[in-house]
Amino acid sequence: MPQQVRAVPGLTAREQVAYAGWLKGMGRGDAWAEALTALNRVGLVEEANRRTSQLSGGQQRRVGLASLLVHDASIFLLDEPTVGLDPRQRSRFRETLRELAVARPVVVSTHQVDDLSDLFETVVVLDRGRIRFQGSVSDFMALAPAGPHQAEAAYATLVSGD
Amino acid sequence: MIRLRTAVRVMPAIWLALPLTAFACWYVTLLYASDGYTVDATAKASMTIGFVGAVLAACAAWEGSRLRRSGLWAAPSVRSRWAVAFWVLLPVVLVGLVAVSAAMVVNLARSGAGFVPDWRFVAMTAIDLVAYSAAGLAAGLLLPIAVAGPLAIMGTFIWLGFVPAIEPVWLRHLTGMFRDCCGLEQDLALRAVVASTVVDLGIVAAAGLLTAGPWPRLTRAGAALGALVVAFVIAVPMVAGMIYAPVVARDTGLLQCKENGDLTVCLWPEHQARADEVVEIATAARDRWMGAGITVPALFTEADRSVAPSDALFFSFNGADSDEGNVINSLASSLLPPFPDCEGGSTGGMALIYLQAWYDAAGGMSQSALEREWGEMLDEPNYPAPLKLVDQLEHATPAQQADWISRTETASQQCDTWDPGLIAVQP
Repeated sequence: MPQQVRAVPGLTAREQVAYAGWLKGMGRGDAWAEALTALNRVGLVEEANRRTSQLSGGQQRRVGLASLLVHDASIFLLDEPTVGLDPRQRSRFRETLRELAVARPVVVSTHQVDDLSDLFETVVVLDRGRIRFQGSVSDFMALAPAGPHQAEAAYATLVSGD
Repeated sequence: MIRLRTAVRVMPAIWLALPLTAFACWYVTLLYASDGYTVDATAKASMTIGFVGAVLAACAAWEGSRLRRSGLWAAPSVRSRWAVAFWVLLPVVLVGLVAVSAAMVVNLARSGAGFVPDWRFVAMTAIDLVAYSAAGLAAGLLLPIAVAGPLAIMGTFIWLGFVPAIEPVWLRHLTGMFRDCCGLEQDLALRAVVASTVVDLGIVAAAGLLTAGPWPRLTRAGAALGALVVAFVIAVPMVAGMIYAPVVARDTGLLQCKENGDLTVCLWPEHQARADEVVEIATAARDRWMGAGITVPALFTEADRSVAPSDALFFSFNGADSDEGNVINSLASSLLPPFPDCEGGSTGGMALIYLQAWYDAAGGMSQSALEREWGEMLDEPNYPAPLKLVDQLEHATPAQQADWISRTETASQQCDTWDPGLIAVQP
């Protein structure tokens, strides 16, 4: 899922998710049927017939997630999925992500590490294309003393400069 | 690929289907009705692609803009970009095809040429629409819609409206705008169709390379330009040197001939309903001409001059509107010597006017028809009114008439000299 999930002008949420399914190789009929199921799984079934452009930023991200679910992706790769969302939208998105992660692996690329321990199991820190850390969340958090911004402090021990 | 219901709701091309079709059908009613000839009636109606193609190119630009703004065009996809473009453009092309085809059917019906368009023009329209839509889509994918939309409309309009109006005249055959096809004795030239198709394929390839090629932008632009150049290099030699109309002589095997005494009259199928009447007029005119000492062949045919037997008399008339006078006038014009080939024009060629006026009268054209044809033409010191000469010739002896014909034919072939004495009836 790209960092910016953009609305397809004119299409409803269901139509956009179905179109994404078709682009991923599904038949038109299957994509249309599965789009509703996917929207249901991200909690957007009631918005299925609203234009995607009329949805909030958080809802549009969930449309993006539904676009991954619709064709039964075996792994989710999300790029900065919560950037630009307000705290309430971010919380709702994380909740959806947690539910989905039960069924399949989710890889998230992010600079926001504040909710790391709540959501993820493994951390890989990349800096200028090189792996600086790879391990469990608890090992990562142990790099810094306990405190209110422990994850950020741990990150700072691995990556220096701008 | 989106559902039909969705397409109807969101695609401007589909919103415009009805107005475009209605406008195209109305537009062809302003054209001169064809003479019952399917090829001609279809060709004339195919010119509606001039505005249908422009509007739909803009609609395709809108679809391209939609794909670009949504990020779907750049996103990884199982479907190829060709497949995505195909399903986006299919409704656009179909709308255009329906609009132009409907205009063709209307023009066929009003021309008394049935209801089934000539398939070559339908196919050409489809290929043209694919090219214009692909170009529009590319514009929408690459440029803001505020630029891409007008660019698509103007580009298509210039291609279909301006190029056919400039020299050399054969350039128009590259556009697929075949409105100058076809008289009854003509058929559509295959090489114009092939050349236009090659250019269309070049446009599609250029649009594809510009938007879907796996190279940097400059390389893609170069490749697109290369595709266009290759298309033109292939297509231009096919049409270079052609006249303004994309035509060849019609198959003379379709002519149906009738004999009356030693005269044979061959007409196209579209004129068969009036065959007996035309044969009667032609026979009477021929008898009169021969009586006036004019040499007339024994075969009158509607075949194109380029394929008609050298000793035949070529003529053509409009099956719906022509009366006896029009038929005689057409036959008489074929009795004339060719217009002289003079650099900077011919003054002697004016003599052909007087010659034809006399052939019309000698062939039996009624006084009212003569007035209609020649009554308001010329009446100057150097160029007497044709009917005054006709009147003098009618009162002349056969020898004087023969002498006049001989002198006037000679005068007609001179390039720089004009002397009214050359065409005067000698006492």
